[in-house]
Amino acid sequence: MLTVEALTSGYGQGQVLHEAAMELPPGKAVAVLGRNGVGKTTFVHTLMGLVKPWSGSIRLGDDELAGLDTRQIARHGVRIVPQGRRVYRSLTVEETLAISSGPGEWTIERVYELFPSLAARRGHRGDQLSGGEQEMLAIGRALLGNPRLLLLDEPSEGLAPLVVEELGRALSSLEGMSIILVEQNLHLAVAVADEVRCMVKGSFVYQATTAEFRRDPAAAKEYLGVGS
Amino acid sequence: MSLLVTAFDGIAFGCLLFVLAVGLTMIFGLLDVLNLAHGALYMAGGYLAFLVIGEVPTSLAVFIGVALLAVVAGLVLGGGLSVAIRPLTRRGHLDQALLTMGLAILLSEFLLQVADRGFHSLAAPRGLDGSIAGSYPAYRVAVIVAGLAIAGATFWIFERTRAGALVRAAVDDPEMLAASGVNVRRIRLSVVLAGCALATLAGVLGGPLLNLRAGLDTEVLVLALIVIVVGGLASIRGAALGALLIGQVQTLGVALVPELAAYLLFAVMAAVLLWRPAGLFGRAT
Amino acid sequence: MRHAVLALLVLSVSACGGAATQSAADDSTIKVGAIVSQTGVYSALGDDMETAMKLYLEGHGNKLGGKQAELIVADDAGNPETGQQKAKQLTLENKVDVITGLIASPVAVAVAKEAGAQKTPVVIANAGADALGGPGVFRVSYTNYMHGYAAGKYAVEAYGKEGAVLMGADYSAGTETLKGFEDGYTKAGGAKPIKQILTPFGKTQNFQPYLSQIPSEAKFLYTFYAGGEAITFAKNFKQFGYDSKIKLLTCQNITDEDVLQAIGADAEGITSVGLYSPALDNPENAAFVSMWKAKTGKNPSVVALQSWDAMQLIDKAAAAGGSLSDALAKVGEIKSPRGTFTLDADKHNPVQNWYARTYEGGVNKVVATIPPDPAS
Repeated sequence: MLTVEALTSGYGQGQVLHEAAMELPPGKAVAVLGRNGVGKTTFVHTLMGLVKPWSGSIRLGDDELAGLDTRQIARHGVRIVPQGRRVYRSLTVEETLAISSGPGEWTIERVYELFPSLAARRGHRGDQLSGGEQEMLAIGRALLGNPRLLLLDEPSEGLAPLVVEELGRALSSLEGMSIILVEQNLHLAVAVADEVRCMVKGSFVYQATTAEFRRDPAAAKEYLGVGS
Repeated sequence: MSLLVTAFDGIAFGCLLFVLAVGLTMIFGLLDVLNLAHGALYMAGGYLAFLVIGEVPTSLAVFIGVALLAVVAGLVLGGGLSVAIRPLTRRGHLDQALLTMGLAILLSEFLLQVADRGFHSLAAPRGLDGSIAGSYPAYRVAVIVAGLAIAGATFWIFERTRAGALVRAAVDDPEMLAASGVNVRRIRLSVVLAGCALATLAGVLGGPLLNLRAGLDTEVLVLALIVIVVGGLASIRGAALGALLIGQVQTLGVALVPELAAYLLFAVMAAVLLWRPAGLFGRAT
Repeated sequence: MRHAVLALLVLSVSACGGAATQSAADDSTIKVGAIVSQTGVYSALGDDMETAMKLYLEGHGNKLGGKQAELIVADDAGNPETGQQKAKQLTLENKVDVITGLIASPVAVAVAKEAGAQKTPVVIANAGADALGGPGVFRVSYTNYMHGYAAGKYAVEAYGKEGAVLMGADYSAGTETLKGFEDGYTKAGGAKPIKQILTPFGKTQNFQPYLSQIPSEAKFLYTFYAGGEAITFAKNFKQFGYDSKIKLLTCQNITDEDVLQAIGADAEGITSVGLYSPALDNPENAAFVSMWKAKTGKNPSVVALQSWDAMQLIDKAAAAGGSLSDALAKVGEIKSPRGTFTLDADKHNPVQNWYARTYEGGVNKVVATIPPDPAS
């Protein structure tokens, strides 16, 4: 499905990704874990074309994405739910979903079914929503593009535990969608993801199924600095 | 009574200022380019009308036809402008200011060469060239009607249509819009074209109010800049309120405190900026 | 080979030097430097000025005072610093015998200073600042004060002895003209004007708020506006219905040729006081108007007339011979299309008739002649 090989990129002179390589099996959700500043966000930004790759390859099915601009990558069926949500602050929920909607199985009504609290606020502007509602809107915006590959960057950041739980349920229900999930909240990550990759200094150094990762506290301690 | 006439006249000026300034503020909001050629575009509309119909009154139909012609010219000039500024999209405001200022000089000098350097004025179309009750020019009422219609249409498109939502999204977060597969460049082009067409249209609309002459471009540019700074950059509401406010300052304000007439405009701008640094409807950034 | 190059170089240098000294010493040509506004806000007036000067030369076999004339035109862009620099260039590099032109007063002041330093005489063809004039500086146009003064004198008999309101642009030409009006009006027996309304210069797009300040007891309004503001004023006055509320007398600029077409029908019936009208009945004017019309298709403007007379003054002075500066002061009567005038002995400003003119059917018709005050 997605094959990333020897991907390098960065900002200005500063290299962040060092020959990052990973494979995402079709229809699976993979959690990308790692300490702060190892390059997780840069990785998904590079996949989306928001950061230009310096070298390496990003293949989605038969399509090479490295070198394309963000819009072209989006047209190949990649969508991102960015860190900090970045909803359109002057657009209402309804408007945001309307301009993001493309042909496919995802409809605005289906998004409202997934996030009923969003439906209740359809007439509100982006900057009038709570953090959780903004996150739902950002996810709904991405889903309406009927993505072949969905990138989620820190969806739980700054949200109350109850909201995170609701998010987790919603994301788990997306069974069968190819997802890359960058997440600090280990609990949410393992609840949603089928597999786990750990990143250190811009490279992937560890991969396992979620079940294997659960049984490997040493890995969590080494790569994430979590003592559980 | 005469103050009422003055205030009413302020609305006419405000309406003209809105049509002129709304494109400037939108182009700034979407492209982060302060188009200093906006005044020259206004001038181009006025001179185009002058070259086609001259200074004698024409029928309303001909006048409207010329206004539409100016819209077409605005679209063409807007196309040229967006080609010219494309290489500068990531450069600083100074580079863009220099470029658009250069374009403004080129365009206004070209117009003065084609016409002449003298003073000219468009006549109001027949039927609107008289005065109402002998004391208020009928054409200015028409300017108010046209201005309100254009403002209404702009608001409707911007606030109520999918195209308007796309433009607002492109102002809010162009990167995310591109990440949804939308061609942001095309949206930007549309806004530049529409903004430039409104500026040339304003030139025809304002032809019977403000004389055509050398230096007109700078004069209206300064007014438009004051309007959008007062109203808040990149805000259509701001442009509307700023235009109406400046219209009143230029008329009612001057009538009430004539001793300060020369400073009033800048005093109001300074006062607004002290009170709300981002303008009336601006976003603090 | 090297010698040949050197020789050529020496030859060419000496040839240049020779030519330079020859031209400076050459008494058979006269060089006139004209500083006009070819660009900037006064460029329309600048066009008329240049055209009139060239027309005069064409009509006089390209000669001034019997000498071959060379006209060098420089652009001041309406800017005093540019004007001064051009004056320096004309006097030092081009070695002109006289500088003329000069539309805006600030430019004229700067140029007169520069030319005075180089001992080159100046003939002002338009600038009206009261302070200009004196040794080496001659003026064939008018002073702002005299412009208003003549109108004030006329207003007493034609508009009555009280109820005057003055309105004008707030810069030197405006305030000097209004001051002249007040003096002319009160000296001729009029009461002190009841109100003076000044409007910001060059920034006023709409005169309605100012017109609304005219007190109801006012009997008539005298105004000074020029260029774009003249157009806006005339249109606003008519379109807001003030023509039916109050009598109007204006300076000559409001119905001058450069703005009449733009004002259109709203100019009809405006009475102004000016130093010229294309309708004046004298042979000089008939010839001038027909020549101008053949060239431009329009009536001559006041600036065109003044520029024509500037060349005429230089022509007469050059014919007298001797120092041009001295000769300019001694020209005496000039038979101008505006009527005969002289320059006063002290400040070299014109002593001339003024005319009350009413614009009707495309021309400023003369309705009264206002002679200069005796011995003023």
